[in-house]
Amino acid sequence: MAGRVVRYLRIATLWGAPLLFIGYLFVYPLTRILAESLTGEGFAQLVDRERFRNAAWFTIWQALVSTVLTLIASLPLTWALSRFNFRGKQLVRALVTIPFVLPTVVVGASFHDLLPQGVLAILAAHVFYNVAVVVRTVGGVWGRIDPRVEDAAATLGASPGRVFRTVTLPLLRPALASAAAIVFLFCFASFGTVLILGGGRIRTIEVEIYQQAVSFLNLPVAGALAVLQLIFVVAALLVANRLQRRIGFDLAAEVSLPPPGPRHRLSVGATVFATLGLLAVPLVSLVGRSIERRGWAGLTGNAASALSPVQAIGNSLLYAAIATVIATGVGLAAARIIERRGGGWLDTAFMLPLGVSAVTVGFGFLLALDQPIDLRGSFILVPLAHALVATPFVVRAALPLLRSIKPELREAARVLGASPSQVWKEIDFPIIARALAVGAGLAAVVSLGEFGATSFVARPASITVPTLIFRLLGRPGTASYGTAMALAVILAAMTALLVLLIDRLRGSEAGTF
Amino acid sequence: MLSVKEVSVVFGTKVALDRVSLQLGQAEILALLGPSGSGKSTLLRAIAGLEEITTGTISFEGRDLAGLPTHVRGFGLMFQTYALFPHLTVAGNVAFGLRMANLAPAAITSRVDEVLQWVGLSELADRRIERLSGGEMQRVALARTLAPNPRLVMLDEPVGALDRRLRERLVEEMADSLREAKLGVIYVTHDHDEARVVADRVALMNEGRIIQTGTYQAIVEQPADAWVADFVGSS
Amino acid sequence: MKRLMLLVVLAATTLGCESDEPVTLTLISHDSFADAVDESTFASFTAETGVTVEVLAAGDAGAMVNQAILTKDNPLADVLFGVDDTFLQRAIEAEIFEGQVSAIDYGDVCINYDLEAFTSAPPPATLDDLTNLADQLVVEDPSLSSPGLAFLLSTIDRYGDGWVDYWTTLRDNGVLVAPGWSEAYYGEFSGGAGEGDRPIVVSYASSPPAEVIFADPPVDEPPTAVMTDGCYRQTEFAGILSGTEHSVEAGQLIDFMLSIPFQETIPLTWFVYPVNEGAELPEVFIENTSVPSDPVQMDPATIDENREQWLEEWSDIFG
Repeated sequence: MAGRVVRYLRIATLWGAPLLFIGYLFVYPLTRILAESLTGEGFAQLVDRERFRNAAWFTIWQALVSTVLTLIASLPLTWALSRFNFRGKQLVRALVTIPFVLPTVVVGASFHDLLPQGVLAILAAHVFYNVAVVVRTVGGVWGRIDPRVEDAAATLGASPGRVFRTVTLPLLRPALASAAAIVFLFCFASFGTVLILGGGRIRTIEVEIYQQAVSFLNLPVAGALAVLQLIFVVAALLVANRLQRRIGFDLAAEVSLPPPGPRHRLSVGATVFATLGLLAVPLVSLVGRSIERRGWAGLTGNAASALSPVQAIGNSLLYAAIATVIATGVGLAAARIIERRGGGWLDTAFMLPLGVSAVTVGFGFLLALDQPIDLRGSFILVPLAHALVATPFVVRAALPLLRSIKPELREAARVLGASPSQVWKEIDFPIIARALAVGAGLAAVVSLGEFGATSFVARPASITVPTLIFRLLGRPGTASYGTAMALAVILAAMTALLVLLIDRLRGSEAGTF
Repeated sequence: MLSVKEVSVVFGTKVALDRVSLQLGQAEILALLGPSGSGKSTLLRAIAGLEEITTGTISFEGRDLAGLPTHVRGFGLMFQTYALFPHLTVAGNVAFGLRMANLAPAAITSRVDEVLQWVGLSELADRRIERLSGGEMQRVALARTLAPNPRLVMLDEPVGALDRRLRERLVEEMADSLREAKLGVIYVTHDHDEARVVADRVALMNEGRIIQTGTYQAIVEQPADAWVADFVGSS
Repeated sequence: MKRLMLLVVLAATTLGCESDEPVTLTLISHDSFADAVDESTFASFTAETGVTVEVLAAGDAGAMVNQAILTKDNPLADVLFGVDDTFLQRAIEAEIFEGQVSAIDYGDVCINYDLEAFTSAPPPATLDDLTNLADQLVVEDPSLSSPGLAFLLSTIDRYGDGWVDYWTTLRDNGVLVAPGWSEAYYGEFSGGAGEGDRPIVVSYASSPPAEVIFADPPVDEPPTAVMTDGCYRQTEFAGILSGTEHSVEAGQLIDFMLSIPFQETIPLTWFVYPVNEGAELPEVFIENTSVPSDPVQMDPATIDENREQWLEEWSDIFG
């Protein structure tokens, strides 16, 4: 009897935590804001006006093209990093991740120096941001494909190109689909980049939502656009889910990587230097400007009165810690449900916040989260919003390994006397622990860089580094500008350190992004 | 000791076990012999509680096992694929069942040493699983199954994954060890020679049913029907 | 005597439920106001009334008004400050205010230019002049940025229906559109703190004084100047949000914001001008900028009625 109660309680928390989390923080606010704003007239305007059709069309094609370009641009580096061991490899991996967290306001300016405003600049910036997603997601799996499989194909007479097409690529397909889905969502919901590099002419659905809601106060149209966005995002995720279906192959537990041989030394070196070189240009100009504008002195002084850089850094670290704990717990529980019960819909539900407009969610928070406790003014809303965006990364990291655990391992443990909770503790958890640590680290990285939702819910006392950078850039005076650049450099450094730490933890190439 | 009565297992529309009945005596070694897909593994899994039975009863020492979860049954089951835990060492694998039984650390250590010595793997105690050969893995799996002194041992094609020479040697070794341990054993195989060497008694399975039970000799001499005659004869 | 004491105590306790608890007012505003608030901003108000003020930053002016409208049934704050004439009508129609709103400050959106770029050639003096310059002007997107919208309104006021032609000429002459003020001023403008190569930008009449105040190393004169023609005057209003439990204190806060001591802190804190004519301007504001000649102000109702259509037509020019 008592055992049964405990069992039900366990099931309730296992299901309850993720469902309550996604339900209260995403589905409910979204429903409230849509209920408030949707009218038939909103949809009628959408259909009627060319402007919205253009925005929808542009959003889709630029996201698709950005995704394909990102995949193409990242694969050589992914290959070099996941196939070979060489000195400085972890540093390279850390550097690649930095762009991912830099605020668009900061990077946009650098890109603008390099390319004229327009579609090309937008696509280039999207690639710049998302290389890390591919390197980490695909690299995790690529590093664990047994090289002997490829060797076998070669001995059967396949040329290197053919080996890649017929053996490696199919094995990478699920990871590629997973990476592509994330990149697609980011580009689909791209806001700052499109604004800065689009020159006022180019609009995505996200930009239109912002304009309709904030500039025109036209909530019916904004709501209708949000629904349109939601439909596209769900469709994209469903396609990605299909492509991601597990194909039956075992990942090697640990493949020890060789240093690049004479045949590969040149191509590995060239790949690493070329990619790093391209990624470095905007970063170097950022450091340069922070020094040129004497931004470092402003960090401790109170040039910006209420906005204290020191406090913002403290807040960012604190929220990253809280968000990471929440995202790891919720993500782990969600991954377990998805793995056990198939719950593909839950997987999709957790990915949705990545592709849905921060404006929509931000307004939804304000409308919905005053009951039962008024969270609207509370600092806790900031890490909660971060956790919402970070959780899918934990799920992504844990799920492939959880799925790779053969059912017999659990059965063997049960036969040997392990209760269901002991099976989890003794088998599942240790096997996925490293991947989970990687997921947690990524959650922290995502939290450090989050801007969209934070800008809606952060109060002056709970401001984070990216929001402070944005605010400083809106203030007059060269001192504010320099401080903003210096803060961006600090954000980049915090990210790099975090990524180095994650890589130390994970040791082997476990898990995906 | 173990009594299986009229047990059926149905997956959807497929009948995996069809009213199977079986008795196993104290310290008896029974071979379940049959072609692949005949339901041998399903029967083992049903006895271990890994598969829910649709009808019938399974009882052990007079007690009905219905509703008793796998982890409290106290049986040993060695998987055909060994199912060794990749994150644990050789000793860690062998110690697993002992830890689940909440034995004192000292008792665990001494029992692990004892069992590893018995299967001849003492030097490999701290080795990681992926660095073992096939034969070594097989012995670790056997050691892990036997270490907690299970009340009943079930071995699912325990040497099926090994090459022929190794198999012959190990089967002899294992038969001796199992007899010595005086345990009730169900030994699943599709190999007639193994069944003959290892078992006191053989149960022949086909298409989810037990066709004939008896000593190997008796079955060969008096096959119950044409299928049995063909199956034993063709070996 | 004793009886009197008792009465006083009784009165104090019954009243205490209402007035003894210290009141905290929440003031919702846009980021640029909230970010410059510090402990001293409302210190004398708190000292005088015992009421403390908490400031809640709510994004830009549009986002703030939207938040206030959405949360009308359970308001986030007691007082709203910073709604300008472009959003005022919408806010009033949504009935978010209790009683009237009060103008607190104003700022003039004007063309700024880089003095260094116009040492030989004369700087632009009128809106017309801007059409003769190729690849020199950077403006903010009027559908995203409040100075951008102000500049558009100023051209509409000047040219009437001809504004489309005016902007078509600007486009053909290579006007650059940035999403917001910081991208335009820091990213594209060549003068002062800007790092771009465009010598003319849409900014504020207070930008040159800001260049002096924030200069590092210090300078005597601003490196930029203001074109006095074609400026648009943005007025910012404050109002009590309906549903507040502290109407009295909220009214006191608005009175405080209109009082001379507060009004005199406005220029150097927020770089806009006080509405109270009794307030003295700081020296740096008088010396370093020009006073716009007859800045445009448009009726909030007219703006509200036409904004969407104007913006649509504007983006058609650039689409």
